[in-house]
Amino acid sequence: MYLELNHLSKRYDNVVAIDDVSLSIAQGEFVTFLGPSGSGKSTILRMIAGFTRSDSGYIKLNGELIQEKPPYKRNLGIVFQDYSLFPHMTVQQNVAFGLRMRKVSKEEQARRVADALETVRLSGYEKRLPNQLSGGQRQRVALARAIVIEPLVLLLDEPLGALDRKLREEMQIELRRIHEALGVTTIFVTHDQEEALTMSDRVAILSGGQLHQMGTPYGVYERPATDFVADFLGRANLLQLAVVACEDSLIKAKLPGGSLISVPAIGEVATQDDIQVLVRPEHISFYPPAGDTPCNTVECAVERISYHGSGAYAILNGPGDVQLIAYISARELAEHGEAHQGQRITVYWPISASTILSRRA
Amino acid sequence: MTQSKSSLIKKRIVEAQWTDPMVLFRRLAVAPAVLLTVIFFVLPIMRLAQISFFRNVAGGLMEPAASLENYTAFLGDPYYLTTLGQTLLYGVIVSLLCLLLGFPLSYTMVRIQTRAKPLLLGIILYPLLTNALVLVFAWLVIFGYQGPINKLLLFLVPSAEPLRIIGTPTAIIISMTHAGLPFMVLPLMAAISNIPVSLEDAAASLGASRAAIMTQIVIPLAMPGILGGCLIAFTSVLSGFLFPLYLGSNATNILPLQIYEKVSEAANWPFGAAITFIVLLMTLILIGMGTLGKDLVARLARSSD
Repeated sequence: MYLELNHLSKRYDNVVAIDDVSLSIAQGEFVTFLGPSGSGKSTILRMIAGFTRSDSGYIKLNGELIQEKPPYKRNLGIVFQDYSLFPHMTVQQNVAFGLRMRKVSKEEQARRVADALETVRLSGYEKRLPNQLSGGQRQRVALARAIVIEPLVLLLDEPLGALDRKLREEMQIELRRIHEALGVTTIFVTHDQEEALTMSDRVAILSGGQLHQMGTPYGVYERPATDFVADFLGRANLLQLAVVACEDSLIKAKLPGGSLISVPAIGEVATQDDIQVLVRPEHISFYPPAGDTPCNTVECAVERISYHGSGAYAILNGPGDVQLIAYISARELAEHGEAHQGQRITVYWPISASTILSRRA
Repeated sequence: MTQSKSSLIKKRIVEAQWTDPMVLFRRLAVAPAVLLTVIFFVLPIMRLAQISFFRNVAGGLMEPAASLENYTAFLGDPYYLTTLGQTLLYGVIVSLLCLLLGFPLSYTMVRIQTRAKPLLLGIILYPLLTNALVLVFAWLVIFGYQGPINKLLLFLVPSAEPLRIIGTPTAIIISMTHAGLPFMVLPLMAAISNIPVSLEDAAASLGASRAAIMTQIVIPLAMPGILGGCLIAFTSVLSGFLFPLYLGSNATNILPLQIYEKVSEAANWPFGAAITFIVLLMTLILIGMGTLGKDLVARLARSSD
């Protein structure tokens, strides 16, 4: 692989910051490190950049161990959360800085700076100072400064954190466009799960210094490896079930209230085990699935409907104090008419849409 | 937008009425300090200005006059002009030494993470917290024939002659640099702590070595602190006479010493007052140059491509 992290660990005094993290990234990939604050995502980025040393493990980039290389010899482009533009330099000088450090000729500097500014759509701002730019423009300068040196890897440390929502979404698209145009291997750090899912080829989910799962956005969302991942990405119904019967491909299990639920079998699950099962709110519907798709049904009472414009979350009370969240699309909501509090309702979800997260014998 | 906002605030302050209790309180709060400065600083200075045009009469008396003779006597006498040159030279040497010692010190103090920081800061600022006379006596002991420096020298080289340090420019420069260091370190630390570490990280990631980070990022951004520190260190030389008085010799002549001698030994108040104003004028010129320098540095940084 192009970039390999092998068994990286780091302690600060008695706190484990990074706990045996290994992962690898292919050339040209767009990978996101996703996790809450304190999950270690930025620390790993700083290790790759060379600002923080790991206590153990190693980092290999393009077949070369880079552990002992100082940051200024690693040839990585970094965009910091606060942009870190040099306030005493113009846009032109900021972007040219890395080229000047590499002793690139004046003419080539000018040409490449112009190219980079065009890539981030900021031509014409060369003579401005950073404090004469808006937040979004500073962001673009920081990006131009990082890509102009043709880095081996582009590291983005929560670069959109300081922007407002609309600008954020614009920059997300912009970043993807630039990534596709340049093909540069990119690592994007964020705590925003929606941002991670929309932008990345693959997402690495971190918590408490551990790598919980790494996979495609679809994979980590639909087939989370741990309950942390299930809960952190979007909304999740985590059901505690007791297994009553195991068939070849199906497990029958019981909700605390007694309703029987079917779950696709994976791994070794035996009768009498307690299992934790994930069902995403979008898979739960007020209507049975079309055709003869096998599905689970549960009788519920509507607790509350929270309207979101494009749809609504229905908070439902199932048998035995089980609370379910269902995401009802606007269309379904219109067809069904307004559900009111206390209304009895049957909800359905396809058996294939439930995933066993963990099991306890 | 920010400009119009600040001018709006200014306007509001101007418009604020005496009847507003907050405004009244604010004005009353600064009144004692203003009063004190006027009575004990502005008025004496004005009196001194007047005296500098008086005529000296034998026996420590003076005769009211409006004569420039004290100034012409100063400017026409090569002895005093050499003194002026020497004073400037001491000022330049001491400020440069303060800068050379103070910059690495300030940078480390700002960036280091240690619990001993307040203690270190206390040691650096110690000259500010002590009477200069105490410092002078300490240096007299340290530099003396029986002092630790000569003891160490004789221990290492038993055949050596003890060094005569007191009475040499070296003693003056070392003691004044020590006394001037806090004036350099305080503005430098303030300036450096305003430079985010992430700027240094960003420069490093773009291929800048430690040396390049210092020359391209830290020093240019610390320039206001560097200029300010040099200015204050320089003026501390212009105002300090105890160090040259006790640690210098008859050959050391710098202006503050001249003022001291004119007033307390020759009892020539008018001439002492005239030198005082020449020193004051120099200080003002320096401050003006420092302010212009800051603008110039900022403009150069922008235009150099």
